[in-house]
Amino acid sequence: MQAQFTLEWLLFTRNIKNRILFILFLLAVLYYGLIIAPQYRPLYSFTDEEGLTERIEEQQTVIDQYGTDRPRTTESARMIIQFSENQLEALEQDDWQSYFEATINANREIRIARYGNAVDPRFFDIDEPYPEQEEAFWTRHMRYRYTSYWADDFEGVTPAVVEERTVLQTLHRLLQDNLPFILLIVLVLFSVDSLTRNKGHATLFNSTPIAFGKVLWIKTAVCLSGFFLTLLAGFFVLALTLGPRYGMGSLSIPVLSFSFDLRGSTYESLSLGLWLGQALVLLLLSSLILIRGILLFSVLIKQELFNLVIGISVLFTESLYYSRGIGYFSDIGLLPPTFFSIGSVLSGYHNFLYNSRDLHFLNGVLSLGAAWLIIEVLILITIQFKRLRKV
Amino acid sequence: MLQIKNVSQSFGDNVVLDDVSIVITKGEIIGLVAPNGTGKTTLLNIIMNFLSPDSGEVTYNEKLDYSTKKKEIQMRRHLSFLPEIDDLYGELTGMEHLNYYARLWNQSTKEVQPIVDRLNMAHYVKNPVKTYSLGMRQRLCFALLLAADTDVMLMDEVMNGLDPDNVDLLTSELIKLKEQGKIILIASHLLNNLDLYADRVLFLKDGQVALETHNSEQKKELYLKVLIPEKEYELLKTENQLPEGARYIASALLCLPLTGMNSTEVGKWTSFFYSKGYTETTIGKIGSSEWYNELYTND
Repeated sequence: MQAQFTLEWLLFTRNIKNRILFILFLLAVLYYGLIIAPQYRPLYSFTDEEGLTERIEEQQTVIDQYGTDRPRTTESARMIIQFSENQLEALEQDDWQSYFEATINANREIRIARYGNAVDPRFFDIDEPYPEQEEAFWTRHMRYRYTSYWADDFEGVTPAVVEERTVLQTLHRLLQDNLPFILLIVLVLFSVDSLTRNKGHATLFNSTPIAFGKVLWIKTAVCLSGFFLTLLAGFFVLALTLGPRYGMGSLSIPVLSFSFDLRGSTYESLSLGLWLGQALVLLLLSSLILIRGILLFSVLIKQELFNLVIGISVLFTESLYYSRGIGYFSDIGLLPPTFFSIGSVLSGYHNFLYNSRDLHFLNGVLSLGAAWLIIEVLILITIQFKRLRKV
Repeated sequence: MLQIKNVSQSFGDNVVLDDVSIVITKGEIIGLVAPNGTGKTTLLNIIMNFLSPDSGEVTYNEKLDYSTKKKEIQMRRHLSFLPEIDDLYGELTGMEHLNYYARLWNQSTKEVQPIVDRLNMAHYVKNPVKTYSLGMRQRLCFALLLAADTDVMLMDEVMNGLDPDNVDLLTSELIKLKEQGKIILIASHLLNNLDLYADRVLFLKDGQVALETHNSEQKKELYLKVLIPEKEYELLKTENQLPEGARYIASALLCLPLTGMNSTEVGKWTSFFYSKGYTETTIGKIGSSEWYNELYTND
């Protein structure tokens, strides 16, 4: 077993494609950490003393300019000044609870002053047909998040934490976006030739005293090790580039998960550590499904290109059945490909999109676990046929 | 003991092996000889279970066979197969290959360095295989079998691409393996070399073992050998009474058995051939190359 693992690991690490992929991945992380991440503009920025003073002066100018001509405008400006002064006072006293309470109120008043009953234009996008719902979701998200900082007695609040810029929070944000798909594509590329590369080495590969099933597990372990080592290296680069600027963040930072209950929709708070742990479990299960599936097709079809096409296609299968709000009518959202959107599922955004309350960690484990089991049964049946398993 | 029992294999209408049975005991080297495409490699593939025969079976020590997956793995612990040189991993070094085989079969790499030294591989074994010449690769493939150190070793054209010095080196290693009690089956076209270490040589023809020569018996059976063209042989036969057991091989070589002949008779026959102008007269056993010519030249 150890000898086979060592050989497979050597072949994995000496593979030119894997090496290029590893380097490209690290370069992409480096570029993200140095160039893209600092340009990130959160929906609701942290306003420091200087910003608050400027805002108060601006609103005072509005009051001075309109006087009694525009009573609603001046009233709004007075409110903003009031909340901003509360924020300033809270900042001076390091009273984060008061700061967040005042911030929630200030943000609400500023939004009303700017857009009234209209939708915040930042939520309009070419691919976004539901800007109003999006704004409602993220505004409430901001309020619950700020509330959770003091409700969960989190003591490490910093401006970077508020803007979710720390290393761990950046990872959290990225996982809610397209990062899971990028990672799983890397995994697919790592594993497409895991078995087929033995094609030209039949007398070596077929004469070993190891059961074929075991060899497949060793290959799975090697692909997983290589993949998670790449992730670890990527995280290290991210930490090196963002850590000195914004800090590592803390695993106890509260993060939210959206769901529906009897009272309607709600956000539940959990620690970032627990959230990342759950993300890791879903990533591990998704990886297992993809690697084992690719190995199954490697035995059946023996074509790397086919493995690549099928692997990437499976990743994006969700687009075949996704329809906004479909979760109210159907359980189709429980199909395994839904849970490849790891961060979006764990943060409950998928529940919001599907209008469902079933897209959560536990169902993700069940759905992905069931898919994995089916693949294992198929592999078991397949390797019974000697003709199929020859490389 | 390795037993090949009633093995038959066809590819379409082409019967490659037809009810072949061979028993090989401990410390025996068996040579497999036949022209290309006549079943040598197929037989080795069946012994390794790379190919399931149409009928028949392969057993080791009468207990192990390929009837179940568990037994197959147990069989493989006792069998190793000379890898084809193109099957080596170009990106890995020879040492990594050797360590892999040593660990896989013996859970130890202790014997790897002595093998490297014995086969004079030290100067290249730490380089990637893709930089090796044909002969270097071939030596590595042989070294892999030594590293695996299994009871049964199967080799297909083990001397391919080797210079005479390395052929001698591997020959001496094969003789050592025989002394250690290994069961070795070698398919080869280097027939004179095969005669140096093989206890038996099996000649395959029409899917069957057409001839089996025994080295130990051959030692006793010496011949006076002389090259004579076919027409002249026919004339000679009518003019002279050839001794019993005389053979005319491959329409070229007349072999007179020395068993039962005294030195005067040997001298008489030698002088007779010399007087007829057949100067290429030798005394020795009938070698595999001569049997090969006899069996396959006229096909």
